[in-house]
Parts: sequence; C-alpha cells; structure tokens
Amino acid sequence: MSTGELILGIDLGTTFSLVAYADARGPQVIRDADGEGRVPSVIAFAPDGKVTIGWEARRHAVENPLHTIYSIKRLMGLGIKDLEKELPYLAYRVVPGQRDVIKIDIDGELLTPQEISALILRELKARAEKHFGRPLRKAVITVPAYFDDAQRQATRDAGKLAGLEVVRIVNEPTAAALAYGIGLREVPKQKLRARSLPIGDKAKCTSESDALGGSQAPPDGSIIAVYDLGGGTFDISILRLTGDVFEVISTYGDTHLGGDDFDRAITLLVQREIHEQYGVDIDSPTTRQALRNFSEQVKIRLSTEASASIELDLGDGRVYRRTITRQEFESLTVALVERTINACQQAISDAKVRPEQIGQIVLVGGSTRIPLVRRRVEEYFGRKPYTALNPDEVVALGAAVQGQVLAGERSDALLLDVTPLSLGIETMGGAMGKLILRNTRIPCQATEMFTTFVDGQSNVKINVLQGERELAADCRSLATFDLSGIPPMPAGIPKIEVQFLIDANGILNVTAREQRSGKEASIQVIPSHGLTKDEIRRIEEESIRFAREDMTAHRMIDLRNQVEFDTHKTEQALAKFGHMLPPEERLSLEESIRVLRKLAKSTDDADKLHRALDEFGKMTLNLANLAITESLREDSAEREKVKS
Amino acid sequence: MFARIVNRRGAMSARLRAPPPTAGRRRAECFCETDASSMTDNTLTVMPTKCATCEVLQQAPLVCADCHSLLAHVQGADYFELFGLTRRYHIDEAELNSKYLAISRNIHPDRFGGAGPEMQSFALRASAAINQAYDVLRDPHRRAEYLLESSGGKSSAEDKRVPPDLLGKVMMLREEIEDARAGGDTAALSTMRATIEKDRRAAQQRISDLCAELTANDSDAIKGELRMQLNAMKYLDNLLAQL
Repeated sequence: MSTGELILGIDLGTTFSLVAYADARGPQVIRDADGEGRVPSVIAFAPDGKVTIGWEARRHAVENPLHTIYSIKRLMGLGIKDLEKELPYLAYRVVPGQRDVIKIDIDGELLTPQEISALILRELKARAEKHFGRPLRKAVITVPAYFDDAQRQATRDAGKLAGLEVVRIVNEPTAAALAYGIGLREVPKQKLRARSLPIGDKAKCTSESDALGGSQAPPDGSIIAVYDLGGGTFDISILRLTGDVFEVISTYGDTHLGGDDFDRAITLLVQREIHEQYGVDIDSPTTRQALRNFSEQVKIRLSTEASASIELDLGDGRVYRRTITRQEFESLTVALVERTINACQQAISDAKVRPEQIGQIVLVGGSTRIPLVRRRVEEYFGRKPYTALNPDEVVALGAAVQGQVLAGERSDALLLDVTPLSLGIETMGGAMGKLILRNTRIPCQATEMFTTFVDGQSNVKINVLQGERELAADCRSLATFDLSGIPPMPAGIPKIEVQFLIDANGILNVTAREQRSGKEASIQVIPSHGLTKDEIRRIEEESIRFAREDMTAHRMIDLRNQVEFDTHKTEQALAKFGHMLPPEERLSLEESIRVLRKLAKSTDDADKLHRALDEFGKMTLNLANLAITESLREDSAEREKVKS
Repeated sequence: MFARIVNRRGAMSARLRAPPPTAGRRRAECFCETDASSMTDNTLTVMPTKCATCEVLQQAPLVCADCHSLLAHVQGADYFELFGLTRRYHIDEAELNSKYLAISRNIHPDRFGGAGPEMQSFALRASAAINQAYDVLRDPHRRAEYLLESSGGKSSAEDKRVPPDLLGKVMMLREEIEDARAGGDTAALSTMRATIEKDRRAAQQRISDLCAELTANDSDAIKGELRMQLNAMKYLDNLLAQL
C-alpha cells in the first residue's frame, strides 16, 4: 500500500535538529553545501523583524541574548511552575500565558514554544524542499520517549504550524533502535554503498574496530538497550528484536537531563569562583549566553583532552584564569550521570530482565561522547557499548526509515512501542485512579464509567492525569474533559462510558457515550499546558497573514534597492553623456529620478513602485543606448592608442 | 470534580470487564481461517484470507479492509480465541508472543499509513484491543482473573472474601517484617520471603487447578473458591512488594 509520497524523518532536538529521508539506497541525512546535517535549534529575532535560524543565529547569540532562543524543546508542553529550576539559566524572557501555557517575550511579541519550534521545523522543511526541488508536507517527528502527552501534543502542533502533516510521533530511542537494527541487517549491502546506514562517526567516536564489519543481525529475541543522552533530555529504552519487529519492553527517562546540564555545571563553577575572587555576580543576559557557549566548549574539549584552560576577561584589568581537569569536570557531573544509571536500573527492573541478558547497549545523543558517561554505562551493563553509529544522526535516520514504513514503501520493520507514564483520572478526594499503567503497549485503551452527582446535571468534568504518584496533585494534569449534553436525569442514573485511547503516537484520544440514551456525549478538551484547537487555528491564520506581510516587506526591500541602483546608474550616465541628449529629455530624466526616489521613500505599495520602476527603465532607454555606444567607442579608441 | 465514578474496581477494572456473553464466545471466523497456516509460522508471510462477512479477500486477518465487520468481533471477542489458543490457564508464552507479533504485523496502524482515516481508526482500535488481550493473557494473575470474570464470576470489588486463615497470617507477617526491618535482621527477612513465596506457589497451583476445573464445570462454588484464591494472591503479592 504505497502512497508514493515521501515522508521526511525529523529529529527535533534540544541543541541540534536534522532532517532525513529514506529511499531504496537506505536512509540519508539531508546536508547543507558544507556537508553539515545538523541545524542548531537556535532562532534569532533581529530588531528589524528578520528571523534567522541555525548556525547564523547561534553565532550571534552573545550579541543578541534577549532575542536568541535556544533549547526551546525543554519548554515544550510545560507550565511556568514546571520550569522554576530552568528559568534562571535562560538568557531570554519567559512569561506566563493563558491557563498554564508559557510564552517567550521577544520585545513585547509573545510566542509559544510551539510557534518557535515551528520555525525550526519550517527551516528543515525548506532544506528538504530545496534538496528535492519540490514541496514536501509529510513528516515523522521524533520526541524523547519520556515525553508526556502534553509535550507530544505540543510537538505535533509545532509541526502543524510549520505546514507539516505529522504522520507519526516516534520515540527517539525507538527510532535509533530501528536505524541500528536495519543498519545491521544491511551491512553486507553497506559495503557496496557509500552513504547509507550505519554511518560511523569516525572523527569523534572511538568505535570498536570490528563494530561494522564484524556485526551481524542480532539473533531473534535478543534484547538491546538504547541509552540516549541528548542536549536536553535523557531516555533509556529496553527493546526486544524479533525478526522485523522492534518491541519496546520498557522505557524510562528524564526530560530535563542532558548536555545543557553538563554545561551548567561548568557555568556554576565559574560564576561561583568569580564571585569569590572579585565579588561580582556575572549574570546579565549577555554573560549568561557567553558563559553557556564557553562552558559547552570546555565540556567538548574535556571529552578528548585531560584538561582545559579557561580565561575570562572581566574588564578593568580583572582576568579570571584557571585550568579545569577532566577529573574535576567529572566530579562536578557525576551526580548527573548517576541519575541516568538509576533510570537504567528502573527500566531494566520494569522490563523484568537482568542486565546480563542485554545483548547490546546502543549509545545515542551527542552527550554520550562524554568519557564519564561511556565509562559508567560500561560499568553498569558490564560490557562495552556499541558506538559505531553517529550519535547525532541515528535518530533522524530511524525516523526516515519509519517514514518509509508509513508510506508503505517497506514492510520489513514494525515498531511496537509503549506509553512511558501511567494515565489516570482524578477521583473523589483528589486521588489518582490509574487506568493505563506505564510501559503498556500502545495503541491501548481503557474504559471507565461516570455518572452525575446532582439531579438534572448535564455535564461532567474529568481531570485526566499522567504520572506515577498516588495523589492527583502530584501528577501532571493533561487536560480537563468537559462532557456535556447529558440528558437530564436524577443524580447517579446516567451511565457515561468514557473511552481513553492512546494511539501509536502516544497521544490520548477520549470519546464518551451516555449509555442509557445512547447519545454520544460531546467533549470539550481544555488542555492544561497546550493549545486548544481554536488557538492553533488562530496562529495558523496569523502565520499565513504574516507570511504574506513578510513577503511584501521582502519585496519592498528588493524594489527599493533596485530604485537606488537604477537611479544612481542613470545619474552617472547623465553626468557623462547627458550633454549628448536633447536638453528637454535630460531635464525630464532628472525630474524622473527625483520622483522615483521620493516614491520609493513614501510608498508601501510594492506593485505601484514596481510599475514606476518599469516606467523609469523605459525612459532611460535612449540614455542607456547612448552610454553603451559611447563606452564601446571609448574602449576601441583606448585599444587603438595602446596599439600605436 | 463533579464526576462520581461507579464501578471502580481498582486500576484494572476496565480492562478485566467480561465481554458480553454472546459476543464473547462467538467464534473468530475470519481470524480462524488464517489460524493454521500463518499463525504458526513465526516469519509469517501474510496469507490472503477472506472476510467471513463479505467474502472480500484481504491481507489483515483481523480487520476487513472492505466491510470492517471483523472489528466489532475483535472488540468483543474471547481473548484466547483472538490468539487461536485453547481457553485454559496454562499457555505457552512463546507461542502467545509469536502469535501476538504475527497479528500485530497485520493490524498495527503503521501498516495503514496510506489508508483512509476510517481504516486508520479501525486499525488503531483493533490494535488497542489486541494489545489489551495480550497484556491480560501473558500475566498469569490477570489471565486467571479473565477466565473467572468471562465465565460470569465476580470481580475482586464485588467479592472481597479470602481464605479464613489468611488475614491473621498476613497481619502477623506484616508485623514480623516491620520488626525484622527495624532490627536490621536480614536473615529473618529472607526466611520470610521464602515462606511467602512458598505460600504463593501453593496459591498459584490451587488457582491453576481451579481454572482447569472451571473449564469442565463452571459452578458457583468453583468460581467462589477461585475468587478467594485470587484475592489471597493479591495479599501475598503486596507482602512480597513490601519486602
């Protein structure tokens, strides 16, 4: 059942994002002219309204800290209360929006994390469209396995705002496992091809020497662990590989644990020491941003070197100088790594397997380059992890393969995933009544009966929760479902059957039916942290309007530049050859230049300016011909002179 | 919250609810046609089968692409029949898993990426139903609960009885666990664990025997006894979790 339509695979990362596609030659990352596949997930808003995304935005982050948005993924689907620990580290401004939604304040313009992520997705979409030379609209987007419903919905909404049809949300470790499994299977073919899976990252990974050549497709029923430590999130997934089926047995993680936190450990050290030495707090947005970049570089250097020297000029002759050793860095970050190991323990216990049963540990995410991470993973699992995959690209490649599966182009792979968190409802007294337990295979369903509390009550509100704690207040509220249209009956008589269905994206769908009347109850969903359907529609409409305005603005700039260029050229020609024109023509041209320049300054009507520019072009035709003839003559005269 | 919840029998209540008797015991027509050929084959090349209702040839044995009528069947079907297994407590877990994978290959929503929204929704619901059945069957306790409830037995919320000597015993053990833990007596704790595990194995055997009897003779007496043993098992499992 091939749809014939290409489905892109997108890894929307905290620090970097990638877009890939898969065809008969295997999955491939779409690269820029320099061969770079990664697009920094950084967006810069210039004061003149210009938006830049990627490397350019990243380079200017320090000069423009309040208008440069990074790590937006860590804010997706969260409320201001969820972010108390995160906010002090951000250089840009975050303000509370309606309900428990947050907004980024860029000089008074308020944008949701969804809209900002949409800008990154738009950039990736454009990159793919440029590569293929045709419009593309379907994509698989990956999310951390431990993302909850609100975070998944926010990601899907971002895709929608970017003009993409998000065919599937896939968990990052699962996508990586797919790329890993397919890669092993295709190893024999791999030798004949240059650029498909698996792509070893030779520069940065010290891979096992026989990792590619010596590996074979894993035996049926073998169990693998995918350890995914990215820029902002951590996931551990345990999978069973049986032929073409990739079955997730359990997953665990932390959506606020990643490379950013390792950078922060260095930042905090530097800030503390500067405070101790000079009694100054360096915490302005500019220094926050500068320290962020700086700490990241120190971290990266310490992955390959035993120490790194730091030097910060604080002005007024004050210079902060020190050498940080890898050992020091490790003692600063060991607690972070232990958190990942604890999560591994939880996932393994949930999977009901023993660590020694795990046949392979696949490392994914840029932060798995940190030597301490590799060492602890190896110690915990008691074996060397598999590092032959490029940890930056493997997720996007897996997403592209899944895109191929969903397009009906390949049927030799099937992902069976699980829901990472238990789903339930708030019961009387504020308890969490679990309906679907964590690590339940998706799609999954649960049915629950509800009734009314007072006579003639026509609606029932249900607070849907996600989390492992016993009290509703300790779990995350996903949404309030307001069932209305219940026929008036005495209290306790209506029987409303509510079905909770988690789909293959890990996203909840709710339907309700009043059983006595057989009436489908209508449900209004009020998401706690996300956008309502109306809000999405409004943003979409606005973005279309803005796109038109943006386009007009762009065209005006081009036209004004053209006016500037043409009038200047004409003036030059007039100065040189004007005496050869009839005086009335010369005067009228001079007048036209003045009029056109005035119009370019005063009008916002691009069409009008375009017409005027065309008109002006026709008027200068005589002069242009004259100028060309004269310069040819001068030119040949010049040559004659040289000859003689 | 304005909602009051009726029929709350703990987290599992919804999933353990017995299907209606008529739908529940109906034979799985379409599925059974593929049963012998494709389901025993682990590598499964999909056998085209006929939908029993509309006779249209189709690839996915549980969802008829044309008339969708099988879906209603999947939603209400007997879990054992869905997997082509004999309705009994003892099952071969490897066989269950390979059948589950074979069915999933056919009905998972990923297989219907290019299909219309209606078909996708059917695949979604059929998959959810299969996953639910699989989760129940592969867990021995839930499997026994299912056998009991789908034979018309009472749920744990409706019938909370336990064997007469159990509650006293559990209370005693609980105190002993607390004392041993307070005193840091790990030897005593491991002895207790061994005792409880022994009791648990006995309960498991009793449940297995009762389930076998239930298939032959579904009298209220056997259902009542099975209910009690399953309730007892929960207490023992909670104790083990405490350890």
